[in-house]
Amino acid sequence: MINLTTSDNETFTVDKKVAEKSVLIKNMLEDVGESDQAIPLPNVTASVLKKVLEWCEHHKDDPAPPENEDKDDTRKRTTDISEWDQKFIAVDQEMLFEIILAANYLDIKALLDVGCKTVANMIKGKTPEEIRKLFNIVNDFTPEEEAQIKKENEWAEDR
Amino acid sequence: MDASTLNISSLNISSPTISNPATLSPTASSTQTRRRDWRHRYTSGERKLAFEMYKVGREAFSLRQRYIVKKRQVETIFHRLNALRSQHAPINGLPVEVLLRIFNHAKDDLPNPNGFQYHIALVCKRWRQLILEDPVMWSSFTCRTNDDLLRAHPLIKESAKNAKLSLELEGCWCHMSAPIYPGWIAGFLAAHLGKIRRFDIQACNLVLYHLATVSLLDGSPIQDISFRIANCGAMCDSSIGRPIIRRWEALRCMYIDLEKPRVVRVVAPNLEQLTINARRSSVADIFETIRDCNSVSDLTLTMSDDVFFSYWVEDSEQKTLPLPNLTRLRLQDVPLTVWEKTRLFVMPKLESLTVVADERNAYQANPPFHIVFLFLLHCHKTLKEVFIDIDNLDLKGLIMRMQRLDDKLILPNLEVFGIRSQSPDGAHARLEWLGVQEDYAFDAELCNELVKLARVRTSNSPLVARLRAVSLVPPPTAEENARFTELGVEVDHIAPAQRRLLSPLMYESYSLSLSLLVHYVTKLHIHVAQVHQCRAGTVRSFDHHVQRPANRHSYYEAVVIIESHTSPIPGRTTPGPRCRRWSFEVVMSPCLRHRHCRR
Repeated sequence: MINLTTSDNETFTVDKKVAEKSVLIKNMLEDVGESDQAIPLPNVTASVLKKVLEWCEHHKDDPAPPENEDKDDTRKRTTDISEWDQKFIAVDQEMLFEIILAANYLDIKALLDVGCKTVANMIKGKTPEEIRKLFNIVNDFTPEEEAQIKKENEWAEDR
Repeated sequence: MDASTLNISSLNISSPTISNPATLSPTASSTQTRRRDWRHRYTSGERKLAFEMYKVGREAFSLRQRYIVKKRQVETIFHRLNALRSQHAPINGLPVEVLLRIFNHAKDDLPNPNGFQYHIALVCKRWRQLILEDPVMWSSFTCRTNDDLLRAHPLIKESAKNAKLSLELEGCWCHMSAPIYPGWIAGFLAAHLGKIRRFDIQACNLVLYHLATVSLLDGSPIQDISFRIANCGAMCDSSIGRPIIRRWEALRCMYIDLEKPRVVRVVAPNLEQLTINARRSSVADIFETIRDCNSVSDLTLTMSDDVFFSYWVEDSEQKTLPLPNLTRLRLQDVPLTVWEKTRLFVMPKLESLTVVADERNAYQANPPFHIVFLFLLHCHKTLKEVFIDIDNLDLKGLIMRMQRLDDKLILPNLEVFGIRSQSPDGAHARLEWLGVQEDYAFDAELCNELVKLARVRTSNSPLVARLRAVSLVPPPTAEENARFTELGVEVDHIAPAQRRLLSPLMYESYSLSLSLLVHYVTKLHIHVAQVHQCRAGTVRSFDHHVQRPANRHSYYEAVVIIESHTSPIPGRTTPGPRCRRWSFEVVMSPCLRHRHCRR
């Protein structure tokens, strides 16, 4: 069993197999070796780690993803998410981004993908204004810049 | 008066001399004649008015200048504030690489001007910068017309930079109404060939022939290629015999959907995945194509149509076909002529076999039982997964013979055995099970055979140590259940959720299966994914509660939920929903897990 301490000083005891879904923790365990000391996770709060561990527990038997993931992979990516993952990730935006950040920090690629696909599905098919409204983003283009961009897009449509 | 609207010239004072008060003064240094003229033209009242107007106007101009400066300062401050607010949005707290990952999941194929990339670039400055600077976002192209090619060209040149390209050319490319010359495609490819990694072309033989003659793709760095024939009528000659490519070192994945596979004669020593949908082809053609790619590890052989006619030219040659690296083989609707030749396959590493046959798709596609059995026998030692979906197959005979061959079990390494479209995705990779899914009466003899099979595999027999459970859908009757229990076999190990993938064309036939299933499920979730160009209201979410049969237990009920995700794709004009995939999730009743089920 492995102990993990969150940024708000809460300690979680988890199975090694579950904890090792995180490449960060796996590497730390390999480097330091097993000990009773808790592994500090200063970038993750207890509420987020609880969710992350719930995901790791459910996916602990999944095969490891291929390591040499090509960044410039030109094959079409799918935005399908499994039923369980969809239910798991059905949280408010703040928690969703926290989970994504935690997955990125802990280096759990599959969970990061679930989060990113969820956000991608939220964005897909929406107009810029709808996207701004959805994520509370303020339009920081000046009218001149907007006019310029529209002109560029006209070029794209006219060609 | 509003400073912005103040215009002194609007007072209609036309003489330039009037605008300067110095010239209005009678003491100004001017000639006597002029003074006389001037006094003659303006009265003293007019002179006073003009002087007053000049003073007020000058003050107004000054105010307006200051107003403009201040307005610009306010705008700058507000834009700065907006930029800060935009950065403060929770989503912008994500690191750049994560945002790009999100965008990459949602990106569209270009040169569609309404593509995701253009929308994202209009959200805020940060996103615009990320999108414009990431070449990967501009690396996938689907071109259907000549105009598309013209639009794609600058995007590839300026935005995609050195990203590896995915290029899809879809259409006939030689039709009179949308003329495009094969030379254009060749030129386009030549311009970007070094960057293309995935190339998918659907074209008529005329275009493919042109590509063949220029040998453009020879030795290119393309790793994934797909050739599909376009049906464009009688314009194009289908009797082209020259191969497109001779040798292709970089190729890893190839899909061929052609009338004559020999047209695309590829010698790819490093090919891993090969899919051939051969139409109007002889067995010799197919074998020659496969023979040139003997490093392949994943082979799919499909013959979807037209085998009804006499295109099958038998070859008398009985050379074996060595496939030393093949691990996955899928045979779909292949006719008996090919089945008979499969014994020539030498596949020392084959682990997974899928056989799908439906006579509605292809004439003589359904192999008889003994053909399948002999093929299983031919490659039995290494097989770990077998999925069989064949209409009218003698299921019982197959299962019974699976363990009777000189009193020894065949398929010693079998982990998963599925009959009737048991999707590999639905089974857990390590959940070794035997699945039988059909409206099939399990008589005592078959039931016992299944039990024996399961029991032997549960024991520590070195031959069949892995298979642990039997799953039966529909579930066993009370009588069968009792027999299983008596023999000590867990039969309620039914996969709790099974996902099925089927095309809309199969919907009708699948409905029949569902009607058999619904009495044994508590929840049936039908999820419709990827509906293209769905008209509003065509597909809606709805619940369909199946009436509980009078003689059933109260907990036998079913819920059908249909959900749709509509994301119209510009350029697609197909009316109504075009579902690429339907997935069905069947959740079994908890009663089955407690062995209280009745039939």
